[in-house]
Amino acid sequence: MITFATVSDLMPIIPELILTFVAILVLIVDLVGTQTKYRITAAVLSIFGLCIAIVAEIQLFGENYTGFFNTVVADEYSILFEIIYMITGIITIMISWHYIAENKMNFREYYALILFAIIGMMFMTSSTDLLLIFIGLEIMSISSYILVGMMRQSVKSNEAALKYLMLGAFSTGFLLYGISLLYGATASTKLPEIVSHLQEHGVFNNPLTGFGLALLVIGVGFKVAIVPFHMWTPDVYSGAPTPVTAFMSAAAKAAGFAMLIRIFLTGIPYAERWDNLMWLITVLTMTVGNVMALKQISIKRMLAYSSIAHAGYVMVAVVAGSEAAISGIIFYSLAYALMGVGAFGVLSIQSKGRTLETYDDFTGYASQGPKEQVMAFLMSIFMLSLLGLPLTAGFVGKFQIFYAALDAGWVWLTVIAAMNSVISLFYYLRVIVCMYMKDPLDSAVDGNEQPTFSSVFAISGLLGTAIAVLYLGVFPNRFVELAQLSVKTISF
Amino acid sequence: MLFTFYLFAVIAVASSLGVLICRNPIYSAMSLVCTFFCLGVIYILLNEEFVAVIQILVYAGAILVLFLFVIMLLNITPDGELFRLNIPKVIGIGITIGFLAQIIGLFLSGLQYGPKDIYTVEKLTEEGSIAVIGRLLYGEYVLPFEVVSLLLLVAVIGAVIIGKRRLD
Amino acid sequence: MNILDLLSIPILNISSSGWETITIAQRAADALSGNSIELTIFFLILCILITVSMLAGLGMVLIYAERKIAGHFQCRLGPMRVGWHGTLQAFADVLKLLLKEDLVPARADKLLHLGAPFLSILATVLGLAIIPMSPSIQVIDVNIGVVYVTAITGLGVLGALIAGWSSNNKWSLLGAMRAGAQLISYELSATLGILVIVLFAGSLQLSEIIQSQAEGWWIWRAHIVGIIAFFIFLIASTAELNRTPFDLPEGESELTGGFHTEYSGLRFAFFFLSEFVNMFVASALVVTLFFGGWMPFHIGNWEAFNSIMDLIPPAIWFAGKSAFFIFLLMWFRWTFPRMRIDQLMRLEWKILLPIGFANIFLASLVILTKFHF
Repeated sequence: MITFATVSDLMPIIPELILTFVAILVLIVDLVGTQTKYRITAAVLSIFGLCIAIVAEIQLFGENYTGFFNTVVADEYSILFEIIYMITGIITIMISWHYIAENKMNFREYYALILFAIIGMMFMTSSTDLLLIFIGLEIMSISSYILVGMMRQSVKSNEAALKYLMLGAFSTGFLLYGISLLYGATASTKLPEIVSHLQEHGVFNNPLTGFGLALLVIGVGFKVAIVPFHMWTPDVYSGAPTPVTAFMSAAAKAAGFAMLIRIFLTGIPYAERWDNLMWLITVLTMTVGNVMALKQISIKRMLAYSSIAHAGYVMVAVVAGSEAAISGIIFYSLAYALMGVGAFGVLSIQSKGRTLETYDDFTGYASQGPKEQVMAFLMSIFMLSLLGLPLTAGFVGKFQIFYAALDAGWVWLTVIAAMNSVISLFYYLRVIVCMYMKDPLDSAVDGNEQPTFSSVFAISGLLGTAIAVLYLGVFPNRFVELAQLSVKTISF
Repeated sequence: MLFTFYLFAVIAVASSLGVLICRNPIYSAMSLVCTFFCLGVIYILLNEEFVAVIQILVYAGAILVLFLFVIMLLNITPDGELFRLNIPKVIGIGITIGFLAQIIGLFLSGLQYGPKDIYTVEKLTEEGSIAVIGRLLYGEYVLPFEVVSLLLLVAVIGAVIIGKRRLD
Repeated sequence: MNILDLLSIPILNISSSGWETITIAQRAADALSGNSIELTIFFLILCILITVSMLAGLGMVLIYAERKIAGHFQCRLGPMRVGWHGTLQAFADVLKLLLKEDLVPARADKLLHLGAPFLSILATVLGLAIIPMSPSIQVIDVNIGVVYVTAITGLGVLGALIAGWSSNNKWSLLGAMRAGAQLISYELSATLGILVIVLFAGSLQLSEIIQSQAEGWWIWRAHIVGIIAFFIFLIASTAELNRTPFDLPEGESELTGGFHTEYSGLRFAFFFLSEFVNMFVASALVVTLFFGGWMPFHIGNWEAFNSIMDLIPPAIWFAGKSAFFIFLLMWFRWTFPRMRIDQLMRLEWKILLPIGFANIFLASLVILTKFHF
């Protein structure tokens, strides 16, 4: 009559359970701990929890557990993506501590919310039921709305949170409407059943399914900020606390793409006109992102636009849609997560009590002191990687995606993407030029500040990120193989 | 049956237009209540009493009361003219109508009903919709059901952060 | 079928197999399927008559009762002049209200101001419709009765909110705000109280909840859990009714009259009426959920006693039990002082709600372990 879930159903969601437990523990620590002590405990506890969850994920790797009536799966594909979120989370927490202390933003729920957002992303990735995917997406979105608005004393942060909330609510509406239309047409919210129905009856024979899928694209497109739906990105990214921006640009985007792949690239039959539409969106995303990034004065805004452009590069792979392309997306998500978090992370560290925001702030940055020197070096690595210079993770990612696109016969798309990379050369190099080849402006020079423990903590996190970026650039083989393996076993 | 459906469908559409057209936000909110009521009736016609009552309980009873609260506390006065047409608005209206026409045309041309789910009206009347919903929630959909609690927890945390008076 | 058949609607409906419940809506549907249009119409009119006459009749009786009880609590006699012991006082009052001028403040929002009392009374009437007053006197028996009741109580506050806002008077608005906040908060606890009984009875349908109490009323069969649930529900419904000690929305010493300050004549009477009838609905729910509804009072194996009790018609049982709880609510009013708004909120969110959650957890344990009578 009624079949209940059993304990063995919990296997695929063990990492999620661990994180939930840690997140609630962090909330409880808030109740007992004093303020300064708490910050350390909560941050350390969160990082510790994320590490345990990563270990759990590695243990699950290759086991292909499914549970809860096939609502969740722990295939290699989702595990890789989930590890990407958690690594992003660790780096974010490492840079947050400093930022929170400097900006007096000390809401204690910060770390717990980051953990909750990661849990949401994990459910988005590992679920094969649109219902659970949607709930995961909402957990992630609501956590990020709150995180964006966490600097309550800052008008920009409030504005960003409100914009994000309003537009996010709209996109959620689209997504949900799409899901309900699909349900109406196929009588299921489970992806395998939807896919088999669509393969049997075709996508465009029934207006319901066509519309449903289109609305789904809009909903997901908002989350990953592809072009007609990118309007919120610059304002939200520049208004949010910088570590939150880093987290959102890296993890939330990766989660969006993971969801996009799970829904669209694992069996829903492709039609000609669909491809053309995606092609147009991709070209627009890359071009608008890069061209707008050229004009920016604020580096944070520039990075926001560049993240749109990077979403465009990933969309190239989505259009190509082959197995190689999907493994390219996985690798690129990891690479972008590292370099994106790194670049925003450098921005989040204050220099001599000042927040670094515009190109002017970075002028002559490298010559201002030992800490600044390290920071400038790190920033250069991230910029070069974002640019896609060989020997960095960015290069390997772009190479894979472009190669997959060429392989699938998308020559012009690849050419446009390459041209866009050339455009991006200008603004990424401009940062490096500003830091190394110009004299610092007036007041910034004097004074030698003592590095605080929190800033050392943050810089060490960024150092690790930079090393990872270089490592992935020089020895990508292992990770590329993992990604390819995971695509082979992707289940839905 | 059909007459009741059309009656309430027409009222629902009319009152949801009222939500848009009314200049006074309170009137808009009340139109929304009316829409929800009509939707509730339509759910009852579909033999889904539970969904109908939850619709009224959650939307008309709780969410709308909060809407009214906010509107009344903010003391929003109706703003100036209703339709001041400017170019972006005209373009927006044009695009909307175009899309609407396209959607209607498409649906009229080739609407196919999807396969029937196993929960047909007969089954629902036989077992009662709550029994079916309950069994699904605690059986097949237990994970989404439980994960919703995380969503609510996050939302509560958000409300606490926004509502906190002290910026410590 | 003719009218004579109607008289055979069993008022005493006792059989060895148990209670058979037939609602009036059910009879109407049966008549319709039996192709007897007149009978259908008759039953539909009966539905309306029952609710409307309940509304008017209860209103008058309860107002009279409140005045008398208030009087006796304060060691005075209450209304004595009109009719025997003032029994006609309520009629006189209604007459007065009907003849009074219907004032609408100049700067009020006319339409909403006129409509609000009807919203209020609408919710009350909808609530009356599903109260099972005896096996055969119930207008409609929906299978989600309890959820329906919760939904309807939530609707009732819309009337108060709209009335307060449209009057364009700050006291009214404050009263409306308080009414809204109070209702939304206490509805949670009321629902938690109800849910315990739903767990025990295994149904949301009010008639089935009553049937499940044939062995004994839930208030003692569910022992501790039931009693806690009963107190939570009683407190929460008192708050939802806006009665003392929770009458902040209309606290006359602070807000003159709260949300109905600017109402007079018939519209004021409507608010008044819906408040009093809501009191009946709440008492009826308490009786239905915890005290066996129209079930007679039985004691274990005392066959003789039980069969004597069975002789009293269920409708009388129901009326008697409800009357007791109405009396209790009136007793509260003349005993407790009014709370402050922050105390009110603290009581709900920090005391009743956690207890309610713990209680429902405990209740499920009790049911799993079958640790109840």
